[in-house]
Amino acid sequence: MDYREPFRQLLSWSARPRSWTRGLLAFVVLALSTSVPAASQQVVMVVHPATNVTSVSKAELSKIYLKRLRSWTSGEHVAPVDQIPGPLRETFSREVHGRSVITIEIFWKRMIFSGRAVPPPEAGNDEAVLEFVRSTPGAVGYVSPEATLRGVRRLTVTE
Amino acid sequence: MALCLAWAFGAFTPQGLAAAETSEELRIFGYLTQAYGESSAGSIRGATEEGTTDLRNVAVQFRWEKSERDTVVVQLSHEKRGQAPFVPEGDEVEIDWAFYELRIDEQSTLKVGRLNVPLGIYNEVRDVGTLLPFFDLPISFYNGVLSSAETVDGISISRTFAARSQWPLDAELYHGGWDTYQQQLNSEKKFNLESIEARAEDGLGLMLWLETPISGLRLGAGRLNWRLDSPLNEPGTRERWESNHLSLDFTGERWMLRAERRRWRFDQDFGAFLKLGFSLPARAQRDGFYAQLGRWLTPKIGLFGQYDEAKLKNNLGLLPDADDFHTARALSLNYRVRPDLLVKIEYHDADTRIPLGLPVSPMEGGQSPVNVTWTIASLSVSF
Repeated sequence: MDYREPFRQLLSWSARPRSWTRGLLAFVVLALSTSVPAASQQVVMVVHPATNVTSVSKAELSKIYLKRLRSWTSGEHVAPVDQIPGPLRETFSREVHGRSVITIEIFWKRMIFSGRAVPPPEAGNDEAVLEFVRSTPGAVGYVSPEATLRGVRRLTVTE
Repeated sequence: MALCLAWAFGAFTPQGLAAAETSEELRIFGYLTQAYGESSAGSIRGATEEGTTDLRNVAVQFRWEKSERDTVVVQLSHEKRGQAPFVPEGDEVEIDWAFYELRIDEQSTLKVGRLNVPLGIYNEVRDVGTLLPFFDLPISFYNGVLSSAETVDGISISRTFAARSQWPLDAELYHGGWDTYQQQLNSEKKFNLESIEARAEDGLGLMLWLETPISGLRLGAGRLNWRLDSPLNEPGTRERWESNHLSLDFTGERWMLRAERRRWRFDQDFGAFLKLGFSLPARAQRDGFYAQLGRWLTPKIGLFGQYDEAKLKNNLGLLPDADDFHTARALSLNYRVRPDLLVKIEYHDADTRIPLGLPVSPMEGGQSPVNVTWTIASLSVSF
């Protein structure tokens, strides 16, 4: 068989509107059945203990994580750390950015391939986030409410 | 430039790669798009009447962050555009861009080297299939290397103003030149066309992006002008180009609306007339506009429509002033398997005077519009 035949069959929908409509419908049904459930966890923001900041607005926090802001209002350099994709990150992304993790990942692809910036480092779990924040001046991270906050300071997030 | 490249390639040594594994100073990214294209008549944007899989973009990017202030970025690419001679015959793998970036302060950077040009929404990511709703960009705005700059060999400075406000403004000013080419008839060559290397010089551009309090909405404006040095021009001829554009980009969680308007101006003073002490310039102006509207029906499936048009005014005598220079419509169905894996199938229909199979300047076209259609199925991945 000609190796291009599957492509031809796929593209021949333009000449057959009825089969094209059926194909599109089947495609939509398939995608609906594989959508991701919404996340429902809470997050706790933490900063390096020496950081001279006690609260931050959601808008400012979003800009920090998107590297639109690279310093705290005090002028101190800020070093955000993210979590690997999962329910906690989904909650953070929707609460702080007002966007899904997928949308934010696409934003970062755009930044990477325009040569402008790369995303913050990702930590694999709460303990790794806390270790990064403890050891990095200016660092900010988020953990689950069950995490034991030792050697870091809690950060209040305002609207 | 040579210093930048030497520094960049220093990072590709085994020691550099070892550093990447341990300290993540060197990061490697990449993307690939493989497509199949079929057209209604002849070669259209690389798609052919009999169908071709010879449509692809591949790139690998090396990003070496020496420190918070110093970064070197190099991107190598490979491009195939079916049977269309979109690019002159040359190296299979080319340096897309290679630059050194110095972060001057929190909101300012300086770049030196071969820079990707911030021009409109898509110019910097024009080949990254996972970021595009269609395989190809709208020709009314992104005509290609003959009429614009994808990169410049030079310098740029960028700054974000009012970064903490609800209206931050990103500004980037750049200067430099770039290699381009022109076509001349040659019956011994494929498609009877021969690519002649030319050079754009004195390119000076500015891109502004204004973020708005509406999440995902930004407004842009830009300008680029340059001088073209072409061996096809008579000695002493002055050829100037100017491009101005406006952009609107709304990228929401579900909806996407993007629209851009661009005006090219071409002005050529013939050397023979200048020698005789007077000027009889050839002038042309092309206005291009496109809009894309899309909606993600689910987190994975998106449907996108595109309208694309161009008009031409000129005193060249070879072309009529044409309000119907180019009108095109397109529909694309996207299936995002993952953020870094996107499948697209798209259908394009155009009434156009532009020879879509050939790399032409924005001012070139036929006497009457023809109707052409083409369909492209593509798979894009990035890492």
